[in-house]
Amino acid sequence: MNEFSLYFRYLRLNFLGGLQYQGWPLQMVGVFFTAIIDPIAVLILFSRFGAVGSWTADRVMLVYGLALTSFGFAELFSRGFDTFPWQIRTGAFDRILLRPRSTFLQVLGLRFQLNRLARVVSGLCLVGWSLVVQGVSLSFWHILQLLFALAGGYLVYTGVFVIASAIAFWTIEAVDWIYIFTNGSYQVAKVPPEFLPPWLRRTFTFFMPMLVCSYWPAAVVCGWGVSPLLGWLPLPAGVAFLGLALAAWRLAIRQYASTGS
Amino acid sequence: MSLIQLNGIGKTFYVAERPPGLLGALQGIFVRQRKAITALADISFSIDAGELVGYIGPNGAGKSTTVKIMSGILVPDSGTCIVAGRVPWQERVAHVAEIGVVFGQRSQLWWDVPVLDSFQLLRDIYRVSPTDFRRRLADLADILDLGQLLHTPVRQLSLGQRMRCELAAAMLHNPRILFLDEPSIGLDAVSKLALRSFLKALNQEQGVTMILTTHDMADIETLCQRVMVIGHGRLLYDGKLAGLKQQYAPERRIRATLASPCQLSELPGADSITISGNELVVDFQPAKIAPQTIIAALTAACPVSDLVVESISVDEMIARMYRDLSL
Amino acid sequence: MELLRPFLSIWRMHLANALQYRAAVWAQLTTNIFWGFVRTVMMLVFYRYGLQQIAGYEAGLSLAQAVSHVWLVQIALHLLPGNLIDAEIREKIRSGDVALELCRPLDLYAHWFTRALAMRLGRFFLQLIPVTTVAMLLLPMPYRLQPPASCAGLFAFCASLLLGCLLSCALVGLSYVLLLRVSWGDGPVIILKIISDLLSGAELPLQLWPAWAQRLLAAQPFASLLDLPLRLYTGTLAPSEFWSVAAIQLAWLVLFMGVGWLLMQGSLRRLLIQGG
Repeated sequence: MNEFSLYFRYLRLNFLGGLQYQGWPLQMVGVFFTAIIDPIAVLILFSRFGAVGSWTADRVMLVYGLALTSFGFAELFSRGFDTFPWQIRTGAFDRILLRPRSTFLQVLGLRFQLNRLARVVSGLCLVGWSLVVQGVSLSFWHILQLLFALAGGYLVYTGVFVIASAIAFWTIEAVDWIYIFTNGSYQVAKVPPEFLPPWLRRTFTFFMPMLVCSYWPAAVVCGWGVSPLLGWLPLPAGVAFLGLALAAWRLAIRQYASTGS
Repeated sequence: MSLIQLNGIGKTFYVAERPPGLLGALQGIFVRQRKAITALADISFSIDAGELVGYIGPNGAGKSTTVKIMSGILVPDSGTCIVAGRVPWQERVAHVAEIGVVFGQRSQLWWDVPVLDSFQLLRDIYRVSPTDFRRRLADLADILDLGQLLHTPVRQLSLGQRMRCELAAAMLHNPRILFLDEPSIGLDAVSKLALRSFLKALNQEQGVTMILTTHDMADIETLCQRVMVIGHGRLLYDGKLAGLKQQYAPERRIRATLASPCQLSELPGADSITISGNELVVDFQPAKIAPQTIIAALTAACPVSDLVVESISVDEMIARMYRDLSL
Repeated sequence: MELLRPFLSIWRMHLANALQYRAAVWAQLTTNIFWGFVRTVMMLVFYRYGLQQIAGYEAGLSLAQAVSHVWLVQIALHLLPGNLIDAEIREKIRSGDVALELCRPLDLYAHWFTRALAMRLGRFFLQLIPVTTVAMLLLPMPYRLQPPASCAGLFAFCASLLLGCLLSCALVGLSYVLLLRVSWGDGPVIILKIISDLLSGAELPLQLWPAWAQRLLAAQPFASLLDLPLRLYTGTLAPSEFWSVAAIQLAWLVLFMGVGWLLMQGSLRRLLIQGG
C-alpha cells in the first residue's frame, strides 16, 4: 500500500471515530458559526467608513477569502500537525517512531475532523461572492492561478504547523507563538496590503509568504496593476516554505531521539 | 552471535528545576537551573534468539529507557547497541518492522473505532499481505479468544479485553522480537493468567524473543528463565531466578499445625521457632541443614498433623534486594 | 476567612502554575501585542483613509479612543470568557470523573467559579504590566494607548472591569453546565464563545456598530463583560455613569450566576442518578 492511500486510510479511521462522538452535528454548527462570524467586524467597519482608497469590502474579502480557504484546507488535511504540539506529551510520537513508515505521513494522519471544512466553505463563498460583485471575468489561466494560490497557501500553512510541531519537540511552552502565523496571519489579510506597515507586509511576504498566496494572485486575476508573473509564484513559494519546514522537522526528530521526551 | 547486544550503554537526561512557591515561580521566568539525571550508567548484556528475559527494577531505575533504546526511539549518549544486526536508531524503519512493542499503560489502538479497523490500518502500515493478515488474525483471534471483541470500539473494552487486543496488534506483523513494558499492570487474575499462557506459547512455539518489564513477580516466576535486575542505571544481577533466590532469599520456613499443644524452644540448625496457638513456624537455611533432617527432628519432638515448607515470596525477596542495594 | 481559605490556595497554585512556563509567558505576550498591533492598524486605516473619515467621530469614538479600546481589549483579554473552559475540567467531564469532584466538601459551582476567576486574574496580572508598558510607553504616537480620560474614570473603569470579570466567570459556569450535557458535545460552548467575543466588543468597539442597534447592544449581557467598562476608561461614558453601568452589570451577574447554579444542580442530580 503506497503512502497516499495509507494517508487516506488514516483519514477514514479518524472520520469514523469522529462519528462515534455524539455531539458532532452541534460541533459542526459551532464551527460553521465561527467561520461565518469571523469577517463581520471588518464588514461593519466598511459599512460605517465606506471604502478605503480604492479598496472596497468585496476586494478585501477576495484576499481574505483566499487566505482563509488555504488555512482551512491546511486545518482539514494537516490537522495532525496542527494538533501535534498538544499531543507530544502523551507519548504519541514514541508510538509513531515504532512504526515502519515515514514520521511525516503518520503525524499528518494523526487527526482529521470534517468540521474543519467550515473555514474552507466560508472562504470559498467569500471568494465567489467577491469575484461576482467585482464582475471579474475569469479566463482559464486565472482559474488555474487561483487554484495554485490555494494549493500554495495550503503548503504554506502546513509548513507553519510543521514548524510549530518541530519546535514542540524542544519546548511545548512557546507554542502560542504560532497563533501569529496561523489564525493571526489571515487577520492581516483583512487590511488592504498597501496600508499595512512595511515591516508587517514584508514579514507576510518574504518570511511567511501568506500575501504571496492571497494578495498577489487576487491582484493579478482582478487586474489591480501587478505584474502577471507574480500570479504564478504561490506554488513555488509554498513548496519552498514547506521544504524549509521539513528541514526543521528532521532536525527536531534527531534532537528528540537524543533527549527523549 | 546473539540477537540483542548492548555494550556500555549510558544515558543522561537534563531536567529543569525551579524553587517551589510563588517566588520561585517568578524567579523561574528569568533564570533556570538544569539538573543532570543519569538514567543509565553502564549497561551491557546480550540476549540470544528465543530467550524470554524478565527485566526488573524499582520505578525510575532505567527500565523504560533501556527498552526505548533497544526499540530505536532513543539514542544513548555512549555505548553500542545492536539488535538483529542493526543499530536501532540508525535504521529505524527496517528495525521497527521486525519488533513488536506493548506498553501496558498506553494503547496503540484507535480509541473510537472497532478493533478490527485498527488492525486493518496496522496491516497497511506494516505492509502485511492480505492472505498473511487473514491467517495471522485468525490464529491470534483463536488463541486470544478475540471473537466478538473485534467489532467493538476500543473505549468499550475492559482492561483485560483491551490488553488481549493490544497483544494481537503487536503480533500482527509477526515480529521476531517483542518488548513488553508492564503488560500485566492493572489486569485481573484471569486476564493475567491468559496473558502469561499466551506469552509462554508464543515464546516456546514460535521462538519469539521477549523482554518483559514488570512489577508482578508472579509474571517473572512463571515466564522467565532469566532475570536482569537494574538499579541506579546499572545492571545488578543477570542470571536465573533461582540464583537470585539463593542470594537474597536463602531461608525456608516450615509451617506446621500441631495435633496437641507442644513446648519446643530449640531445634538443631533452626534460626528461629515461634508458636502461636496450634501453629508452629520454624525458619532455617537449607545451606546449613538439610530439610529432611530438621523435619525429622521436628516431627520427633512434636505431634504434627500437617506441615508445609515455604520459600520467601518473590515480592518479599525483591523488596529485600532493593533494600540491600539501597535502591 | 476560614471559608475562603481553600479557594485562596487553589488560586495561588494556579498562579504558580502559570508562571512555571517561562517561554509560554513570553510567547503569549508577543502574540498578544501582535494582535493588538494588527487591530490598531485596522482602526488607523479606516479612520485615516476611509471615504467617510468622519464616521467614527459621528459614532462618538475618536481615533485615539478607538486605539485605546483595542489595547485595553488586549490587556483585559484574559479576563474574558475566552476559551471558556479549562482543559482539566473538560477532560473530567468527558471521562465521567466529574463524579469524583462531588466527593469534595465544596460546592462544585463555587469551586469551578473560583477556578475560573483564579485563572483569569492570574493571567491578567501576568500580562497587565508588560502589555500596558508596551502599549502606553514604547509604541509611537498613533498606535499608542492613551491615559484614562480622568482619575475618576480610571476608578470607575477598574470597578466595572472587576464586575465584568465576575460576569465572565458566570458565563464560564454556564458553559460547564452546557458541557455536562455530554450528548450535546462542545458545539454549544463554541457558539457561546463566539457570541461573547463578538458582542463584548473584543473584536470591534460596539459604538462602531450600526447606530440603530446601539441601545440594544449596550443592554445585552456581553457588553457588560468589557465594552461598558472600556467606555468609562476612554471617557465616552462619564465617570458619573458608573452606577448605571454597574447596575446593568450586577443584574446580568446575578441572573447568570443564579441560572448557572440552578442548572448545575439539576445536571449533577441527573449525573448521579444515571451514573454519567
